[in-house]
Amino acid sequence: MSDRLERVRVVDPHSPYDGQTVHLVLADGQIHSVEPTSESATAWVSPGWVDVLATCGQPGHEERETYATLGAAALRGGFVQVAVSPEGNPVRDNATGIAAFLAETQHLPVEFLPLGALSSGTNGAQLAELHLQQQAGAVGFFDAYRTTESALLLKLALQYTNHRDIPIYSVPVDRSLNPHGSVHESAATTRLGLKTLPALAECIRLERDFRLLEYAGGNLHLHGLSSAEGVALVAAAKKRGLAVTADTTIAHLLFTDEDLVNFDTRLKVFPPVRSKTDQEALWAGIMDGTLDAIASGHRPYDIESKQIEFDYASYGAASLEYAYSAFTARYGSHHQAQSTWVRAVSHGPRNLLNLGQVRIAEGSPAELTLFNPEGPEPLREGKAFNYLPFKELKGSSVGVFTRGNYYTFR
Amino acid sequence: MSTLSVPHLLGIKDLTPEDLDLIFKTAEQFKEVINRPIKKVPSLRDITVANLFFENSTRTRLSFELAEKRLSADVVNFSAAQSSVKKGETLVDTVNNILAMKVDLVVLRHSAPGAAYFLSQHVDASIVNAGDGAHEHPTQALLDAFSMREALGRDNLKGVKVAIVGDILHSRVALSNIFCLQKLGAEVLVCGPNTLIPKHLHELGVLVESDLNTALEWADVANMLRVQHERMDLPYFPSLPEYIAQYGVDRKRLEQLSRIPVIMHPGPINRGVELSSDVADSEHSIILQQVENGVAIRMAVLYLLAAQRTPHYTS
Repeated sequence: MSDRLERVRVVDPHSPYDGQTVHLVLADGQIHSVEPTSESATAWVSPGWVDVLATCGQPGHEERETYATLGAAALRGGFVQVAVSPEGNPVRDNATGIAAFLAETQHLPVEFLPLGALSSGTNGAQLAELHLQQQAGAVGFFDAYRTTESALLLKLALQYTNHRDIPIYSVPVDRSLNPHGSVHESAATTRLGLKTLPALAECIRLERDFRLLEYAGGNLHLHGLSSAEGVALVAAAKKRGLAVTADTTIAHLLFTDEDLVNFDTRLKVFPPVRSKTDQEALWAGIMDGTLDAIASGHRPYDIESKQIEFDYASYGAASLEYAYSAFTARYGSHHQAQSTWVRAVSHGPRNLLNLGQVRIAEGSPAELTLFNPEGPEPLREGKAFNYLPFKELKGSSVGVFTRGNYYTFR
Repeated sequence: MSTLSVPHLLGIKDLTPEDLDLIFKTAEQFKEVINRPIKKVPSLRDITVANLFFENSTRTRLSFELAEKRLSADVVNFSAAQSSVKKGETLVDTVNNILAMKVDLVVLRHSAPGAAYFLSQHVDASIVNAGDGAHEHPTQALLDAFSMREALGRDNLKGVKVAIVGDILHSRVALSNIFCLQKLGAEVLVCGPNTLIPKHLHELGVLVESDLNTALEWADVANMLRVQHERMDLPYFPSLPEYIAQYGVDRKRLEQLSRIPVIMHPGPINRGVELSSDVADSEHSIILQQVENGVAIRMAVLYLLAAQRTPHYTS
């Protein structure tokens, strides 16, 4: 049995058909044939999109998001695979948890990739069973936004895994600089009287993490880069040959400290959104490949966690359905912009999560996202209260082909 | 202009120079009223004001309550030493419960910056910010500026040099004073341990000075701030004696100056810390005038906000 995708424009820098309009014939989960055509395109197609980090409420906080609603949001956002944070109650920190997660999510249209906890109960002290979690299917280890304060723990984790192709996620923030700081340190936030966490916190932690990585080996993935200095440090580390990858989030690309003027808790994210200069450096990092991925950073909360005073509101924002539309509205619907997007949500994530690459070419797995950069914004599918206050959205995914199934939406 | 440009008093940031002028002119009239034998006027009759204090306060709460009673408002008080969140009820729910009893104005004191902004977006009442964390304390800044005008015998503060001394980092008074004084054309300098001065404060157009003697020599007015022990979650300076040695003002320090500035303090004073008693009680200090003016300023603010909300009551 085969499917045929007519008149789709290829966005895939690694494909010989990049920029061409083609007919795709899909069979047995693979791209069977690619036929160029001179007809105008009805949609664009790229290797399927992968989110390197999203959070679900389930287990323990199903009022925020369930596996089903997260899957629906991811599908509507055009993603075929999503790496899911181990946070929850209980935390996913052992092989049984990983296996249960996979069993409970395998029926969903979008493939959920489990991240396992780095430390037992994400306590930041005792290594979790990394080998057994990987055996059970974990694609990376992450202490669920708890910054790895213990240099010893990170050193041990990197040493312990340095013969495996599996990333250790770190949120590079030294919280000891101001344990209660919640926003960027700047003139804009000085006006608000909120406690600050300067970009210096990111730089100090990056310097430490790179030293540890150099010493111990292993693969380090940095989540949520937020500052210009941080991007420069990542570039320098890559130049030194360190096995480091990094992402920033859609919140950090779209918002700055100036947007906090009305104490909007939807913009209370961790690490904090920073200055315009930092934002420009993040965009430059995405464009030149210093940053490997754009993460949704989707972190759903209920109204009770967010519609309260800024100081008491939880960190995190929901964005999964709108990440692409926000990117396109801001950066453009031209081919180069769309290629940048595809690199940041397909090639980069597949590389850092060791998923194997997908190309728009004969014989490649048929894991595909179809999208329309000029189309209307997508409908909301997720359950979260705390969607980012996007000012402008443009375009959306219009279909996903994954694991032999074709899902379309308009 | 006889009305404010804003429906709430959330911060000085939101006010225009014309708003400030209107508040001062109105306060002048109310100051005359509260010095009469009969201090009460019927301006806010049938208006109900709720004073919601989610953080400890004595003088601000008392000052607001007196202002409200002298305007003949009906007053209800709610105090909670801890936040509503910790009690299990959200701030919005708490306030909406009180508003269901038909309250027109809410005076809010809260430990979280932005609490008044937050509330103004979610409840149907005029909000007066009586201090929100380290963000703003607008009525304090208004009464400070009003008191400076009086003490200096001027009807404007253009070119006046005001030094704000002490714990700037944790002070809502400092921030509101900076916004207010700048709108009025004054020059502002802050002085204190560098650890208690926000790193980017100079970007707001404020001079920053570490040496107290230099700051006092420069200033026409010195507004001495309290060391906010209760808001310090980190050790910002080594000890109180070390702080006093560098940033405490006593008579000896003042006598070394070529001219002594007007001394102000928002209260409550840590006597022997930021101010010695012989300075706090001296002829250079206008601390008690500030307290008196606080009532007049708060009467003016409540009157002007109520007039906007229910013009038929106050016309």
